[in-house]
Amino acid sequence: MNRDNLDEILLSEKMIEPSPALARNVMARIRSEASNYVRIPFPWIRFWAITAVLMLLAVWFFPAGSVLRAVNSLSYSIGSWVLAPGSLALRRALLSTLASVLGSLVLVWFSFGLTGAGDY
Amino acid sequence: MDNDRDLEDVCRVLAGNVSAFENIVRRWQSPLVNLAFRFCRDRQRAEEMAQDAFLKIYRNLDKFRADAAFSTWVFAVSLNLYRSLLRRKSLPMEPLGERTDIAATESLQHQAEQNEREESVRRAVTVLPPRYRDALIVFYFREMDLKETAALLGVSEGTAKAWLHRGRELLRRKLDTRITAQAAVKEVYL
Repeated sequence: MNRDNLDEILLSEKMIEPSPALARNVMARIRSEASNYVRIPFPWIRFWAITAVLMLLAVWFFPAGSVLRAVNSLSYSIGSWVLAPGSLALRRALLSTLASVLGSLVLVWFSFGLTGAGDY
Repeated sequence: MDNDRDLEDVCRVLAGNVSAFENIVRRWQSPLVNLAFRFCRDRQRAEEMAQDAFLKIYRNLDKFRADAAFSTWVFAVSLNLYRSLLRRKSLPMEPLGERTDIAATESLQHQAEQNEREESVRRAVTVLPPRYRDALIVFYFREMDLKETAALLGVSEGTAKAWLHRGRELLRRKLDTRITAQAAVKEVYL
């Protein structure tokens, strides 16, 4: 079979006619989707409530003094980590960072679930 | 002309008139069903795939930028969807030789044999590796327009040309092997 034969066969394919129900079915699906789609506002009240709870928990677990000390110890830079990897302040700082990151992830996940973002 | 009408309807849909999408569906249903049919060779499945394509087009209508032709965008969206549908759920492929063997053993008239032969060539395209299959289907569907084929596949014209060349080679080899095998079978039975 040469190239001309292939071209001829593949070019000569007859077009099929879509069924009359196709447009109707498509429009039914689209109308149903359009009527079900309601824009959900961002849940600011829940967002602030959860943020406040997380902040309270952070303060409860890590009193302000220890956070400040942790920030100070962080400013010692990597050197202090190398010299005293077991430093309590540093551990607390790392834990508070981890808690904030996890808290943010929970918030993002929560807001995605509420708004339906990322469904498509 | 059609592009202008499409753009008008797109604007109307985006402004909240969902019914305007029906005009787009009516204009594009035949091309999208036919493109899907070339991938799956099953009429009902092709209509289902086209329905999904229209839904995707509707959902992404706000992403259409008028700097490209609406036709190119519609085909690109549909092509991507068809490819992912085929990846997700492989089609139950009829063995390539089956139909031709039936035709041969029943000794149908010449026209029927010719039709079967052509259909087996088209079926053979659908079982090529995806990149060559896509290149050949789009190229012939768009009446051998290399530039548009490359644009729809999202590759350079050179790459599209290379895929077409390789695809034709593989197809020819596959078909030649089958023709030889069928000739051998005929020799044994006749």
